[in-house]
Amino acid sequence: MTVTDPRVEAGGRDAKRLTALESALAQFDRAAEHLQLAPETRAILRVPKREWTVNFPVTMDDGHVEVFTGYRVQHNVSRGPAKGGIRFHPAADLDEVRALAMWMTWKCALVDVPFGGAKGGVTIDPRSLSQGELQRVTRRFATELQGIIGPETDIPAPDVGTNAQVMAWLMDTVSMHAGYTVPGVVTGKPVDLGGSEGRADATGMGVMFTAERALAELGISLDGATVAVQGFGNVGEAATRLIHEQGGKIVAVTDVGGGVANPAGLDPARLLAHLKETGSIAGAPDTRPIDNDALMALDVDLLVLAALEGQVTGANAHTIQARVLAEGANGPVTPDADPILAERGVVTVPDILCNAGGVIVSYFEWVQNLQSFAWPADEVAERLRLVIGRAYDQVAEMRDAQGIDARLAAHAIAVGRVAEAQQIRGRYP
Amino acid sequence: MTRTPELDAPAAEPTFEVIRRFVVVRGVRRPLRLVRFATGWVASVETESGPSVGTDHSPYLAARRALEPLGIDLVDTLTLLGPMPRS
Repeated sequence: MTVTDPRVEAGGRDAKRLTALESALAQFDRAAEHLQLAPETRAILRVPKREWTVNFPVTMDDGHVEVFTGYRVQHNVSRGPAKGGIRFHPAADLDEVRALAMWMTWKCALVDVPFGGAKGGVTIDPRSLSQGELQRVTRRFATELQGIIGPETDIPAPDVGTNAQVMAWLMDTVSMHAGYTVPGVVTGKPVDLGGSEGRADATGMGVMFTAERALAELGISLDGATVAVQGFGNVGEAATRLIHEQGGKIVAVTDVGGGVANPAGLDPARLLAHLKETGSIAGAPDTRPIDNDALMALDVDLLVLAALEGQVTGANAHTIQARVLAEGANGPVTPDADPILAERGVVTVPDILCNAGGVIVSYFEWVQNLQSFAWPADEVAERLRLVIGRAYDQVAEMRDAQGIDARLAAHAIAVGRVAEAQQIRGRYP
Repeated sequence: MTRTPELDAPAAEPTFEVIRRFVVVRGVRRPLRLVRFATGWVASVETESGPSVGTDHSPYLAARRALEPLGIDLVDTLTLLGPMPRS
């Protein structure tokens, strides 16, 4: 299959990296091969069910008009409505959104929530926009998706570069068009608008729960474990804070502006305060600078990757020294890196398990919206622990019974469930 | 009708292979038979209401269908079967 990615064609820093779509397809093919799926089932699951590309104009603050490009891809809806975030990022493109939509299908199936997989993106740098511009981009993109998204069809959520406020604008725009309030059209909303308690921290909490389980398998307690975290956004910040609260010693963190390290331990609250003040954690007091490559090569108990795809590749996997690698981001480890990590004895918590906390609590939010009944934060956290813990147990059991790695076990369970749903539903017409 | 020598000739290799696993449900140990053909699998298990059968290109999905009356889900089926030879 030919996959075009401008970042690869340009021959830049990413020239030797597998694209997100190449990684996603390689992981799917491996699982389909392991399950011995029928060729027609593979053909159906290998491609998105539906995809849209929209180009839309937005008036900027200085009066000029800019045209932005956005995407929404629904990979599979055999198990329920499509579910997946919307990212605002300068590198967002159709192939990346296809890959992320496919991963959402497997993620929802693995944790057994009744959703299919989708993803959306707008090629834009949200940090370069004023709040007014960001709101107009969001509302116009939501309008372009009118008729595509809805509580029973396709339910967006926050992703890289988007947040609860963006979801509130999305929900309001859809509601204005509908003529009544439609809270269930998005998840990850502010709590005051029907969002779930605990949703903001959910992905990070899931990372913490699954990393804790993986460390325990190696006889390492999270309390006292040394931890390095790549990424200090929605996922990385929450994971860092929650791991710190459980006694983990955070020795290094990086974000888009740089990185900080301190072998004696970092205080996530102080990093967040510095981020709010300066726009980056770089240069926070009582720290020394560190870059991504150095962070990923640290000799730590736990390495959390909570940034973007393709961070650990065949080219740098041999530098990883962590005992456990938790994939808080989607696709941070490319397939060519997996065997190298396995050879080095690095235990990987695969992304579709590790970062599933977000979609699990999104499911809780969707259920609460449908019931018009809000659950308290401790109930959300306990249910999250149960659901992601059950998925962790199933992956571990399958991994051990079949003598395969955790990523293949996770994908085989997920792909098997979707294939089964696809076959039981039959073919129309 | 013309009969070709290839179709009439005895197969050089066995055309199927039987694999057995055992499943314990509510204390009762039941044999699960899986038959591998060139194009897929047939799975069968004895239940209280008679034998159940599942067929699929995938041994796991075939077994899952056969085991469904016993309340065994896909994950338990995958774990129960372990690694399977290719059809």
